[in-house]
Amino acid sequence: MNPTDFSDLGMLADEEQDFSSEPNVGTDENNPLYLGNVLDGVCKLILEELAFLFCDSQDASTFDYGQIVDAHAAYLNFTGPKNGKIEIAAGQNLCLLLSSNMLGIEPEDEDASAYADDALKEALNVITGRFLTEAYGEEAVFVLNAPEIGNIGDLAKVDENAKAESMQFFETEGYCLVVKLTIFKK
Amino acid sequence: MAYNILIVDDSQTMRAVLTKTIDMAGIDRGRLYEAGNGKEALEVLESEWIDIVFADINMPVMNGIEMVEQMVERGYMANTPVIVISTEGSKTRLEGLKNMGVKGFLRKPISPELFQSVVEGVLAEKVGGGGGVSVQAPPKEEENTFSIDF
Repeated sequence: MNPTDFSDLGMLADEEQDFSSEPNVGTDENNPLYLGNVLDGVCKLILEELAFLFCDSQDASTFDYGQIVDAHAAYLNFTGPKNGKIEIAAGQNLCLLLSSNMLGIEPEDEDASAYADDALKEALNVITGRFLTEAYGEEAVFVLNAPEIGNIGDLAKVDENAKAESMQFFETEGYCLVVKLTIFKK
Repeated sequence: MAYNILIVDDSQTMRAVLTKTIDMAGIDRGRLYEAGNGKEALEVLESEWIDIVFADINMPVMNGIEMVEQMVERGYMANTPVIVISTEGSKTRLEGLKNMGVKGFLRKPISPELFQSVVEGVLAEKVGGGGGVSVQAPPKEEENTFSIDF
């Protein structure tokens, strides 16, 4: 895909990063800046706990889009008080690191490759579950669909049914990771 | 005593991680069965003696809640404790699972120490034949778990 396809969302994410660093991001559950801030924290926490990956947030304007051109992607739709979708994309090497760390094996192990897509989907599953609780509270009941393998190109698309969108960029172990949240209009 | 264990999760990665966690916890396992959804799990429960079930909630075909409902209907819950291991964070849903007889809950990503503590509690109750819910409430500071009192 063309990395410049991300430009619009990149600008959005860039603004969010700046804004979320302010002390008063707000807690409006429809505010993409607030949601992005929550998603950023949840992604870092889950990837550390799940796979011992320590992520640094990246600025969209300096993000190395070349690293995710051929990335593996997955998405998960959820319904409930809010309907939406979370997507994740990571390159092959990061997917191998993810699966091998989760399984406690070496990235060169053939199982790491065999489990790479599934590990990415499971990471997305855990991120989504935790994000929904953090963003909307423990009383909210959501139904999460099973995560599916997606298309990296879909992350660059702006959904016309979107009420709020946020894209988070990370770097870990020299590899890049992108997570996108879309909240749909009812 | 060796326990026959059924792991129900649509993620093969999680099934592998759970298998390792079970071994790391020193749980004496007999036969280990795996299912990718609730429907497959019920098929195993119909044909095999299972001592404990570890089940995810969000799965295709038949989710974990539907599976537990079926287990209640078929009378499996009395002898086969279920521990739910999920990303779920809704207190409402957890209360519902508890009311259906689910013995414990662990939130993903799971901590091996807490896993061991909860599973040992459930198995001790099963062996001892106690009537109460013996699952230990997770420590409040533990990020990976619910603070709900089981």
